[in-house]
Amino acid sequence: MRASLYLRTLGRESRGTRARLAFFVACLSVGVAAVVAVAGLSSSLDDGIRVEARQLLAADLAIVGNRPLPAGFDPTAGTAGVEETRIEEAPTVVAAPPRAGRPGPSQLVELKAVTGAYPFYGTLVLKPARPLAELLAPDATVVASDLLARLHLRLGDDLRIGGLDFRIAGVVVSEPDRVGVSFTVGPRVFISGAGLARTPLMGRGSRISHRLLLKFPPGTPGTRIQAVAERLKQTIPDPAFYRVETYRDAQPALRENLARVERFLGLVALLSLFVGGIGVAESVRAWLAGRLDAIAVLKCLGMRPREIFLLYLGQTALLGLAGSLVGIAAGVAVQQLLPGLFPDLIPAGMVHPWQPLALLRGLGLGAGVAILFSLAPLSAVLRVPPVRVLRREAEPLPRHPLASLVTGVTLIAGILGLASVQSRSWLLGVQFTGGVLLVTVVLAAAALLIVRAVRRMPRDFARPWLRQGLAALARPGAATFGAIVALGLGVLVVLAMSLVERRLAGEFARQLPTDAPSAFLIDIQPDQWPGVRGLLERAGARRIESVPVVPSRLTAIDGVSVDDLTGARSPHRPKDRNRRWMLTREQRLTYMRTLPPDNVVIAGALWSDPAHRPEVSVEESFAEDLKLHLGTVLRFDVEGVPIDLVVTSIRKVNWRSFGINFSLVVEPGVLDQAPQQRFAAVRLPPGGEQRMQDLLAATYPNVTVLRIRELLEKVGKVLNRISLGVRFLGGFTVLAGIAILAGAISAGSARRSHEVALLKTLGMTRRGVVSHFAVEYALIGLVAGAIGACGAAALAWGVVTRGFNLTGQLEPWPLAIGVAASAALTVAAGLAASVRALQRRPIEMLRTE
Amino acid sequence: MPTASPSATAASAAAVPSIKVPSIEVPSIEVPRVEVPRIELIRLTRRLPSGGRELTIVDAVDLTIPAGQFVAVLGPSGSGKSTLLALMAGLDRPTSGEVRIDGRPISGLSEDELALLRRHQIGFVFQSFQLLGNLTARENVLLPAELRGLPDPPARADELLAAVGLADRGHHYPSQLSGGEQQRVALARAFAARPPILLADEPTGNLDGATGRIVLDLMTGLRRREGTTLVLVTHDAAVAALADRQIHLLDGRIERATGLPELTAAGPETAAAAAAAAATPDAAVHAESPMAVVGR
Repeated sequence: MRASLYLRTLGRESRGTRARLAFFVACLSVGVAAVVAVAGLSSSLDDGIRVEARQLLAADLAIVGNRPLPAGFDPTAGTAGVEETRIEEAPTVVAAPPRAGRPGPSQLVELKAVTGAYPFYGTLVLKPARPLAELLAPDATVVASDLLARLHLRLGDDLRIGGLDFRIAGVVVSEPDRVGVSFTVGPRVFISGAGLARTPLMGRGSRISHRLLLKFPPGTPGTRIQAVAERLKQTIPDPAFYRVETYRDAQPALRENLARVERFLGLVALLSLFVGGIGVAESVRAWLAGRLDAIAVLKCLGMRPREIFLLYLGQTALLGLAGSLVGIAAGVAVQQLLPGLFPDLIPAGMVHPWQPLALLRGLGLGAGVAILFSLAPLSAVLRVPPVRVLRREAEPLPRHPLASLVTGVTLIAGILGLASVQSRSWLLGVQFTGGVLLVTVVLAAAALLIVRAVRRMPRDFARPWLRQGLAALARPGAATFGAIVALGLGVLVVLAMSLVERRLAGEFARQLPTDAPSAFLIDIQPDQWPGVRGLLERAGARRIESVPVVPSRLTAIDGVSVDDLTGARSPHRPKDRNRRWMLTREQRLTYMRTLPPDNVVIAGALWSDPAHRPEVSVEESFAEDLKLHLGTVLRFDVEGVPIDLVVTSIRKVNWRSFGINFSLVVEPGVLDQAPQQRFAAVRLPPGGEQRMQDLLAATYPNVTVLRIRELLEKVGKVLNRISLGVRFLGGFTVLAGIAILAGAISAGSARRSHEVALLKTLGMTRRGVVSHFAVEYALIGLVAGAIGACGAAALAWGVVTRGFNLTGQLEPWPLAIGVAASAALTVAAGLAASVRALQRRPIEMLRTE
Repeated sequence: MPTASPSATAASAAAVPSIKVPSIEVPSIEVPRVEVPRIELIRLTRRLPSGGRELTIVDAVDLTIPAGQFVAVLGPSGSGKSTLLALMAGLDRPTSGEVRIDGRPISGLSEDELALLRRHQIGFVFQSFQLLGNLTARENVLLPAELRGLPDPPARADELLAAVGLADRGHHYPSQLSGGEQQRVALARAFAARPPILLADEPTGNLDGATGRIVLDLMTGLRRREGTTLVLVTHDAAVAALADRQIHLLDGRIERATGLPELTAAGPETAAAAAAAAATPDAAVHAESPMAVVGR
């Protein structure tokens, strides 16, 4: 057939079916709309999360190192409009100026020297409420209020830093990016970069950490910042000495959740596309069912089967294009509407729906899905017997093995391609395709077994309506079977989506640190603890936890000295550097009889050594980094006293809980007499931290209060946004999936108008026809729903445990509701499609058939 | 059932000129020197599975139809008439036996090759019209001519629509036409690609008497004009009487044949000869020969 004739015939053939194929266009457009909206919204959501999370980093991107950035390295090369701030941090001892010839009291503090604007994001709350840069003249300092109390100083007094006097120009109330509490050495002291340059502190250089904060122009997409971060990681000289961080790395509690959300969004987009594909396949199947006569006539007229196949494929492609365009428009509209409807979810100005590449991708994916998923139903064209023009009930032509093979291979390769494009990973694409294949085979086998079982089941005992339904289920021919498989797959995907969404959103809600401590108290002397505790209780503190802390150093592992362990290795390999640091740093030991609830022993058993040697329980990643295992003997130096501890258990710690946790927990009784301090975590009533700080400063000036309420609130906000986003996008996809499935069922049922007419002709009332069909649809829906629900439970379990590292939970109720909803949906959509046939006189339907 | 006999063979050789083709507007037909029957059925059998057992629909039918002949196939409902027609057109495949078109066996052809055979050789008229509902009357007629690749299909379609008296209804869709009009469009479509063979299945079965008569007259007139071999299935003796030959089917077997004798007998020897003839390059030319002359 010549191209011109092909195009002419294509145009003619599409004419009468345009209205009928509205289903097709609708299914596809819902799928594409979901893809476009999810893609757009997830990037907007990501931007929204970034707005919150970057406050925890005080910048968009930070380069952290323990030496200055190499000369000549310009991290902002090629990126215009980026602002920079340089920060140097070091622990140092500050002192009040000498009074009456006697040296003033001194204190170990965390010195932070700032050059440039600080912070870029979040707020540094100061008293007086002025920008840090204004307060920080080269000879001025801004300090934490507890330092004033400890050193008996006031605003305007001098503070001796590095041997030079700085005027105290302000007090720090809260700091946005002070997130770590584990290695805090003391109160905060700010000076300017110029101020630091005045002191001899830079010269020593040993413990100064350098931090370069970068702020990108407003509106820079998160992906761009990530790309810059990746490039910096690749190009920075001596990468072992620097760490490139973005807002993702600012808070360990968020890192894993952000990764989960990304995986979830990828899954949502993939599955919504897949559900759209099922809708397309079903509507093509229904469409072709109505075109069998025309196809037979075309074959009679001498059109070759493959020409007819191409004809319908061409139509499908055109419809796919139409559906994709409608879907893109709908997806863009959804994105435009959302910020107005859910301002908490996506802040206005965060939505950029007009991204030509993303839209083009939606178009390509839509057309691709349309063609791919219609291949199998379209191949039925090849099997239409031309003799149908004479005998409508003629058997279909035998399946052509090569055609089946080509269709199958193309479909699998196509799904693989689409999944890889959508998830931007070949590995994920392969996993998804394999999963879909496996699930389809299992579903088909289950459907076949059930249909066979029903066929064998005696149904004489049943009431007529049930008998009719059972008979319909067991009817020979692939229609019922195909419908069950397609519907089952749809139910599986939608239900799995909803289960994963529930689990994930539930997890985010659970992680919201509602009961986490709002302040940590460090450096409490053991004899001060009863008094401090009393103060806390009177101030209305809840959840007061306290543990002893024994400072120590690790000196040997299994008899090999740490000096030998570290000296043997090159300092340039990052892993070894980390190990060396972990081996040589100060180790804070604690001791307790039972572990806190957020600790789980994963190997060995607590305090179980049969030889009754002193024992230690080690946290999992610490054990991994130092290559420790059960039975390893660690030697610690505690204030000059060597202590040998045998590792008898390894623990997993949930660091997200914000509770007090230690890498090393020692058996009680070993360290009880060692020099120690106490460490406490409390939850204070809102605003109580400052009062507590003032109270403690007056009575126990050596105790430092670390406020983490602001940090917790920020983490909470981000988690909330993530949870809301997951619920919303998951719900959106589930709804889209239900709409598509309803459409597919309707499309499949529309061809049964002839049967309606026939039953009416045989004297069945409309009510009778409705109940007859309802039972049949309900049974199909129940069977498909049951199979789909089992599959969904398995899929959701796999995704939750493997993909999200969460514990799986079997929830029977959503599954049961899913099965019931599947039956109800099938009945409703199926009957809705037969309404027209029910209303018209039978003869009209019989004639048009 | 007709059997091969030497006299029949002899008579058939002389029968070609005597076919009723005087109304053909072209003065002469190139009569092939080696006569190959247009359609040949050899021990043609079709069984269909029915409720666990096999039902023989067409039972070892032998039949030879020469080029240009008008054969009516008669028989009661269920006698296998339509199946016989479907087998002749390669719409259905025989359980055993063979169909030859212009001496060429069609049983080994793929679905694609069968489609091409129909495109070039066979036109259809059905009881239920089978017009394509998405296409206008004119487009329905155009399609076979376009598929065949004839020069100027629109002119051909207009000419045929005029011939069936529907010149001004070409832009209507089938649903906007009466039954008789639809069947006239179907007739025009059947002749559009100048097929040497026309197969008609109860073409007047869905029409009232007067309309049926008009359609029948148009069909026979066009057939004469185009020199088409016509096989018409009917249960109406009056319709069958218009044919050169009447084949009566009963339970899938030829009960009797009336009218003109066959041109070639379906004996094994002649079948072999025909097969040999079909293998010669001339065969294709012969197959096309009536079309090459008629109607140009």
